[in-house]
Amino acid sequence: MQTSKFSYNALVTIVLVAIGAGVSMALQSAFGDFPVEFFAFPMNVVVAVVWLLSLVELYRHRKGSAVAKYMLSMEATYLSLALVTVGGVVAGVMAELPTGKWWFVVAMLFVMSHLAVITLRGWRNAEGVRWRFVLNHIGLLLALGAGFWGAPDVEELRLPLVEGRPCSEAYVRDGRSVPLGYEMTLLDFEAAYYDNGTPSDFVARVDIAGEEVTLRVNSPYRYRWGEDVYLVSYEKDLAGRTRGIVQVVRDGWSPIMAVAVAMMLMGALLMFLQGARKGVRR
Amino acid sequence: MMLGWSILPWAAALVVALSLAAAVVAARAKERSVWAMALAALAVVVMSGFIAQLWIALDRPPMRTMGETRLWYSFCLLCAGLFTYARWRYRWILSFSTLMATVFLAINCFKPEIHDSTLMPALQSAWFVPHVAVYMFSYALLGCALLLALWGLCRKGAEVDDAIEQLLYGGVAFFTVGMLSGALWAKQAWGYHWSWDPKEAWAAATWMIYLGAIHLRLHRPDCRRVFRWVVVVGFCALQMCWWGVNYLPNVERSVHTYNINN
Repeated sequence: MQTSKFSYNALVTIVLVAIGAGVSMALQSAFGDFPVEFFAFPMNVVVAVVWLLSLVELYRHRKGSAVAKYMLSMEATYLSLALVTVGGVVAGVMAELPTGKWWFVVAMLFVMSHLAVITLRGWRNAEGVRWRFVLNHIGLLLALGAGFWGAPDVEELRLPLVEGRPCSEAYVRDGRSVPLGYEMTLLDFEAAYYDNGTPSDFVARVDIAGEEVTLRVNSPYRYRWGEDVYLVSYEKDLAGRTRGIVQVVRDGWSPIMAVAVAMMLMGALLMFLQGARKGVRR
Repeated sequence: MMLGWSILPWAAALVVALSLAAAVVAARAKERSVWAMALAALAVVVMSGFIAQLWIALDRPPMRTMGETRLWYSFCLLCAGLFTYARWRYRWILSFSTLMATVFLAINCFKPEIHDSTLMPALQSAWFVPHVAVYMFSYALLGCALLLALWGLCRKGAEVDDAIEQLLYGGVAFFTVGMLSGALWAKQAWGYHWSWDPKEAWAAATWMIYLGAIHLRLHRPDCRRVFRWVVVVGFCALQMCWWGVNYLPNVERSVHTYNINN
């Protein structure tokens, strides 16, 4: 019985991978990269809520269906782990990131769906809430979710600041310039070096919307909730002046990520303290 | 007087001698030997002393270059070997951990280009020490798990899986903390928790393989050989994550390039 069930689910896994790969390739060649911008807020929130509700519906009312049975199987766990492994290896080897590719999006959706349904099933047992399980699995689901659904909303704006010249135009990754909405002025820039010429420290004093701020690497300034200002680098321009490269990151999803990180930290702590426990085996 | 790297060969010889003595005593004893534990603990103390004086001599945490992380790895391996021996009484674990620690110490002794006391601004952060130390301890626990898995694969009937499993829980817990501390640090330094940097990507792959081993053990404790093989594969991925990425062409897009060539 055990063996036949194992091979049935293994077969489903192979078929699923084949279908997923085929569909992703077809979509990739038909439309190019995944249309991330289309899912900017509020579209991403709407789709995420619909996705989550359908998984709850699947778990609560269609648990006997073939889809639910497979999604709750151990083979789906191994497939999820394998998919993230493949994603990691591809991102670890290739020069180009896989994150905008259809196969990556499809794989991540599968992984998150599996995590969501097994969390619905396993968050408690006869003895009560399984805290270690909940912290690790929901923590990971939130981290993946914030990264995945939040990706279209993250804005990265760069400003090359020259001393004494106010700047309110920023550049985004593809080179377009966009209005920042407020003004920044570099008041003063200082770099220090070791004897062998490598930089030991660089600091910029910047006026940000009327407020005087000191920026350095590892020490950003919070302009407002979800909008932080970073000093990332510096360069000499053609006239020999030093330009401080300032980056503004707008990420409204980062609080969710913070919660996810806190949950997983606690989960890891419990994992270390409790170790492998006997009697939890299915 | 600050000695720094110059006394490494002497310190390494002393550490290896103590550790080897502990391994021989442990291998010969039928029960858990207090002498073996005392000798192994002494090796850890000597190693700690060397790292402490290096830290003071460099005037920064000795965690930046590959040479420095190898030093911590040897140190953590000795700790993890002692812990595994004290907890599960594997007679051979001290021999394995001594061998591995010796290899990493020897590389440092024969690579003199590790003297460099600079620390670039991006690494000047309170996150630096915990981020690296936690990873090195995790690597050491996972290294001991690898040694037990290899032993189990070579020797029929070896009962190593419970100990491997415990080492995995400890190793993966620390690995997770390493990744999470890295995410928090990255947010503070650049504004993103995660950016699929090559090192991050290999860390994710490694993490998944080890989680696969943990889930396999929960679900199918009878699949012993597969379990041990997954642990071996996980350690291979870990090597890519640790130093293999430095040799990949896409390393140019990595922010983890402070340690190349040293």
